[in-house]
Amino acid sequence: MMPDTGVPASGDDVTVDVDRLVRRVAVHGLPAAPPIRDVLDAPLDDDRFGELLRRTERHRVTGHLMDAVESGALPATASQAEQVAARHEAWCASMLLLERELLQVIDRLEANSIEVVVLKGSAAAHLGYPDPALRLFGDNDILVRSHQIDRALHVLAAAGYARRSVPARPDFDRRFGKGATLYSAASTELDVHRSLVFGSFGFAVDLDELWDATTTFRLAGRELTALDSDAALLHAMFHAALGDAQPQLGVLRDLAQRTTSPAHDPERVVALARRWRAMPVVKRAVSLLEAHLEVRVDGPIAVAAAAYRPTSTESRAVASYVAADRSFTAMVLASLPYLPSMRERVAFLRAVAMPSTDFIATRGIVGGLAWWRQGLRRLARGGRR
Amino acid sequence: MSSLRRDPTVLWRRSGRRVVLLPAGCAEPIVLDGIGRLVWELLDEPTAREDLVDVLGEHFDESRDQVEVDLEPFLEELTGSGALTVGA
Repeated sequence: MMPDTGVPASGDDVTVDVDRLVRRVAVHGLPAAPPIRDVLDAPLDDDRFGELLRRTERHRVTGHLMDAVESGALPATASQAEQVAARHEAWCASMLLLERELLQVIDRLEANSIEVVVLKGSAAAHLGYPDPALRLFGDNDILVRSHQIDRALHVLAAAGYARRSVPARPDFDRRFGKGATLYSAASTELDVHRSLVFGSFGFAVDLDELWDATTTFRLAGRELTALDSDAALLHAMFHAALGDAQPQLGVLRDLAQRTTSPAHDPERVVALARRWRAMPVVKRAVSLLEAHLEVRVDGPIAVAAAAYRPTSTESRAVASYVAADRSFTAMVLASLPYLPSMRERVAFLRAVAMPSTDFIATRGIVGGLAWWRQGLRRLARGGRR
Repeated sequence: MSSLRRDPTVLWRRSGRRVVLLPAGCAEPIVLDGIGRLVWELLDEPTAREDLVDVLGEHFDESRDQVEVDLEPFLEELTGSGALTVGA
């Protein structure tokens, strides 16, 4: 039951730091999370509450706001509680429709003998949280095997999914891509992954080992495959550390949820990270978690992260994802040391510097030669903008 | 004695005091509130219809007959949508 605190909006809450409040909401429910009432001891006025609600939606932590309001951890008026309930209900409806679509996608792919692992979204909600309603998502993410990605995209295209950009070369998805983003006729987004991330750290992931690091969860009576706790924790680290320069709080909450859960084996997480050359990713993820959510990671992961000293190659690779002046060319150059052979490096450079005419046409570039020259110039500048 | 249970193919989430359901046969989600949510929670395990009526009668301090009357259209709607199944 939603609490009706009976307390009018305080009206004198101009000193309340909404940004800090959103961060408190983002860690609500974690073991040893600091109380929200340290930041807010009476309901906000309606304008500021509206701002809080908008920010939690932007950061995808409205499930935790709902839980905080419902449990009384965050003071709110009855009207404010109803606003949160209405928004959360809308998110739930949207997520259920996405889960139905996910099941249909998996049906189609499996009917074509294509294996699927569910990533993030629904899998994180059902496996990572005590109540899946806490974890919001706005799209579906699946992993398919490299040798099956072309066929998977073909099957999904036949089912009405459209891709807004073509790959640089016909074999790019299978050899070098992270995957492809597709859109249904209803404009829902489906990310079809081949690896966990594009570029350096994506190339270093042992995809066979990733496919072995799986578990199952039940959805609508079906058994679906997802990454196991350790691989899912590493994936959460990739997402937090190499995604947006300022990570979404929901992404960091996923990471906090996984690191504070006894379900993972920290020694195995570190071992996987070392084999996948991902210790710089782990180090940055642990640091972001502490900086943004004040969540400290303990144990072997924290020890390994603190002791790790990235090489200059690794630092360049991390910067190519998150630096303020990052560029595609810098990412290409930083990725080269992560490719296993000179042949692969040449093929990768050729794909990005001399893409197919279809790719050039979709980018609105008139002549293939112009694109090639532009690519050469960018590479010659050493990746600078 | 017939028993009622949640259909295992239903997608659903708890949202505060409500439950949002998406049964396989429905184009749009259904929202259960109040007694609807309570029934959904009680049907976490297959439950005899008579037992459900008894529990609700006790919870709301109503007669069995009154609960039967109130419950009937609700159960019909949920079984019709595919959210609930009736077993032997």
